[in-house]
Amino acid sequence: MLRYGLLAGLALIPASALAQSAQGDVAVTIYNDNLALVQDARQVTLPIGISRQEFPDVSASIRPETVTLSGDGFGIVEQNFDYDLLSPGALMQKAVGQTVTLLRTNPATGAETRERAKVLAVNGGAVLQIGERIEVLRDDGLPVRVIFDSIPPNLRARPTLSVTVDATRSGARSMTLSYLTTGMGWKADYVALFDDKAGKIDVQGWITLNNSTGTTFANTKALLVAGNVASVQQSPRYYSGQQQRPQGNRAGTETGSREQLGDFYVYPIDGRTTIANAQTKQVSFLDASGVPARKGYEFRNDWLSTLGEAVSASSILKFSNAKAGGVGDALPAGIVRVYMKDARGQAQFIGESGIPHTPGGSSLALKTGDAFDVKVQPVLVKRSEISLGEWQAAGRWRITRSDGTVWTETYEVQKTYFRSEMRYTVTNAKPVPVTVDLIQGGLGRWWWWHDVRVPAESIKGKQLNDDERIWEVTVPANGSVDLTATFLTPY
Amino acid sequence: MLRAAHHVLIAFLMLSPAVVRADDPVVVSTAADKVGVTIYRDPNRTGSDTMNLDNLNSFALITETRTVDIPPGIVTIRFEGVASGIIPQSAIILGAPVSEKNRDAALLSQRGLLDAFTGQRVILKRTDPATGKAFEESATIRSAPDRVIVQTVRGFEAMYCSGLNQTLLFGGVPRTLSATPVLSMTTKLQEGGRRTITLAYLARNFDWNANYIGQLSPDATELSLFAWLTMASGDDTSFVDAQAAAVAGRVNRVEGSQDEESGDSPYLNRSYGCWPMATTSTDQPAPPPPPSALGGMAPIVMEMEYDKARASMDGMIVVTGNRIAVREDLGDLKLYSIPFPVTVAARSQKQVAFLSKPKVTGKMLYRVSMQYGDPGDVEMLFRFRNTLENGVGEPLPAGQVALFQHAAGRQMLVGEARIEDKTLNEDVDLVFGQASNVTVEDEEIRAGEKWEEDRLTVRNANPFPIQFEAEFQNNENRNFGHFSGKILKRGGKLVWIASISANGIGILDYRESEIDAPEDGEK
Repeated sequence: MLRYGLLAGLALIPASALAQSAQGDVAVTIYNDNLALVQDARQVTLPIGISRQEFPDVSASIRPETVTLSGDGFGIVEQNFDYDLLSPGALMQKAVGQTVTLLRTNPATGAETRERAKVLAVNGGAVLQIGERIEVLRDDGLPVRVIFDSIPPNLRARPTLSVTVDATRSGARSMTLSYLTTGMGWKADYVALFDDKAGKIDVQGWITLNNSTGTTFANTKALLVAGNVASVQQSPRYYSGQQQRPQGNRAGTETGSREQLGDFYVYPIDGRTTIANAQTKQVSFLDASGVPARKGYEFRNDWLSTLGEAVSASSILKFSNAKAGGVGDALPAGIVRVYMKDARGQAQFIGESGIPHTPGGSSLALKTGDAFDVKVQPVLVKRSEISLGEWQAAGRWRITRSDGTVWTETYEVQKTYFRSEMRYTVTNAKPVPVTVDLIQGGLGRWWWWHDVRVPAESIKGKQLNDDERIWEVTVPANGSVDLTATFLTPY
Repeated sequence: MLRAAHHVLIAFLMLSPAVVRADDPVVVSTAADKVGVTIYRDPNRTGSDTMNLDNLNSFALITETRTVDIPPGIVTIRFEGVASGIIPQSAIILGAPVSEKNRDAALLSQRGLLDAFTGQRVILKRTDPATGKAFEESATIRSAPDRVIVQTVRGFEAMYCSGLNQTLLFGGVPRTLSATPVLSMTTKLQEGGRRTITLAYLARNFDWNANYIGQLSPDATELSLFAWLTMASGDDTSFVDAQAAAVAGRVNRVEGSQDEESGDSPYLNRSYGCWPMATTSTDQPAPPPPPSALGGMAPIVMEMEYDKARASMDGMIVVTGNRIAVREDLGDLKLYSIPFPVTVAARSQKQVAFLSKPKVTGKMLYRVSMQYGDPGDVEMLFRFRNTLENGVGEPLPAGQVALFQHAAGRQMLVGEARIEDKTLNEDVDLVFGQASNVTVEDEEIRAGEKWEEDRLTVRNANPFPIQFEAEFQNNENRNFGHFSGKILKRGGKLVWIASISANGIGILDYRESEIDAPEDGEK
């Protein structure tokens, strides 16, 4: 066992021998978006009266303006966050006007000479006064050791928080330091194993938390909050640029089984855990099996888009997170990775999809990929102008909106109208029939363009909204279906 | 050693920062007993794009079976020898009760050491450049790694600013640091014993491609089609005797699914924050550029599963049946499994046959597209319908096709074509070149206010007859009609199909109307 020898031969230094953390009993509440609340209860012995207390080992990404210190029998006089960090340049700057020791080494003989020098200025180079002469440090390129007698008290290795307190009594007590820090965040990762034949999925949820604060939090009580907390330090949330979500996503109204904090769900981590710096930690929070799920297909066509070759429809996985017949819990935002078993029983990855915070009772439809065997070719068969007379006759097909109102046209505004005849050829090379949700978009792209009519369609469609119309096209096994639709549009 | 049942070491040392309690034992699993590698094609790469071996943009699913002997209680298991491109948050662990999974990226580096020893005693070693004699003294690091200040008995000094030959010696390796990012898991309370753990995860820096080789018959009515599944791994880990597979079709990926590169850069700028170190006329030396993430950038090794493949008389590759990858449906994707164990070596490319169709019937034709009113280039293509009757009837994953033909007594390259994912009953057009002996001319013969009539003249300078197609596509601005020849509707296009005799001419008149023109009795 070569490896054992290697390990045994190494002097491994336990953490306790190294820098002992000054942290006390730490509780961390982690929000989704790179934000965490740290509560650190430390045992501190205070003298009576005014004293300055230092709190090392706070997060290196601390937001010092959010610090509060609580405890019994003291008042806060002032609170300082020292981020003037110890560096060679800073040390030299702070030494201006002071005397340092120079140790010169003769490169030929190795002999050391020692002199005292006064630092006059540090502007680019360090200007020193040695006796009656003025010299720029190391201008000759020869080695010189500069030895400082002390380090100014406010130059520190790491950012350090200090608080001046006025204690009414002396003695040990617990002081709780709380602050916000960036550099810590979490998201959810889901593993979904889909069984197509049984029409079921098993879903496991993992919380993935990430610590890049520069600080390790040992033995903490960790709590994760799902939801987007507004934070002034962060730039406004931008649209994530994610692809349009497929049809079939509908937010639910069920309350989840989790503890709630106002509007947000809370996920505690059992026991205590160490969140090391530069660590990605995953903890399970959800395990549901045998959830009914089904596969669907969707194809979305842009307005007047014609394709020379058929392209694949999207494969959609549909399930619910309702308590009855679903995953049974709210799902925090994250990525769902979908797996399926192959002929040998080995799970293979079939695609992934992002989900937003999803309340309980929602319907989910996730795009996992493109279907190799299910394709759609949209074709603009013909486009032509129609006369006003035909327009009036076409009034019969006006669209009734979902709220029951019927849109009425004002003829004066629009003078020309266009008829676009579309054909969508849906092919299925699978040995089973499939149903494709075919969506034509771009029908109401602009505000003045809300008068689209569909006088003819080979399959009854449904208007999803002003902009989109959907048809459910069922294609037999190894077959093909042509859907034709005629649109009348003001443009 | 590799195949032994115990790839496992129980070290009651505290190796991992992931341990929850100080006395939790750590078990190291050094290698997998069995491994499966399923490579996915880059979803953003079209059929015409080849793989870039230096920058593989896709990923693989690695499934490892590992045997570990674990003591009872709460145990941390460290997984070593996983793919270097592992996406840790995708890891699935089966076979042990997982309470948490960790990926630690605090690396053993100069920076990592300095960071861990800040405030601690180390040894400062100084070598006399004249005599070569070394002096050692005790020192305490008083600053963060990027701006080293040490304290010695004489006082405080900036260690890397003196210009002397000096270094720091550390007393050991802090257990919080590791050579590479480490994936580990912590079990729940369990009774111990031997366990078989399945570890599955996605890893980046893989890709695969379909490479077709087609041999056209002399009369160009038949094609012998052969295809390589070309798999490439840019990973640092070799997977020996793996169950390898490739997935065809497009899987959805989410931005942000990749691992965030957490942790500090291991590179240290030692002279950061120093006063000028040399003469006033020279700049500070630039820090050395960080080496490439792939280390030495070893060239990618190419390998073909060729031992059973041989070149036949006419130059075609023949691969016996049991060496051809097996296809199955995986949901809406296609999975090609290699039926024998293969080694997916680090930074290498491997080719295995996945399709061999010696007799594909189709036809050669010349085509011009009239979509925008003017004729485009005259393309030469071989077309076949992907059916069993035509000798194919197999899904054809996207890739490149090299077409060969015997001519003038030797094997000639006819041209290269691309193919997108094509399923059964689809027409496959292998466009392999532009014609030089078949030309088209389009001239206006009559025009109205919003229409014009054109004449398309096709001239064949070949000494053999050709089949020619002109494709017209109505679009939002124009309709085509009034054709003087026979028109077929195919895939939304109006197609004029003509046989043009050797050294002959073909003529088609047609009308092109702008959309907002009055309707005018189109044919």
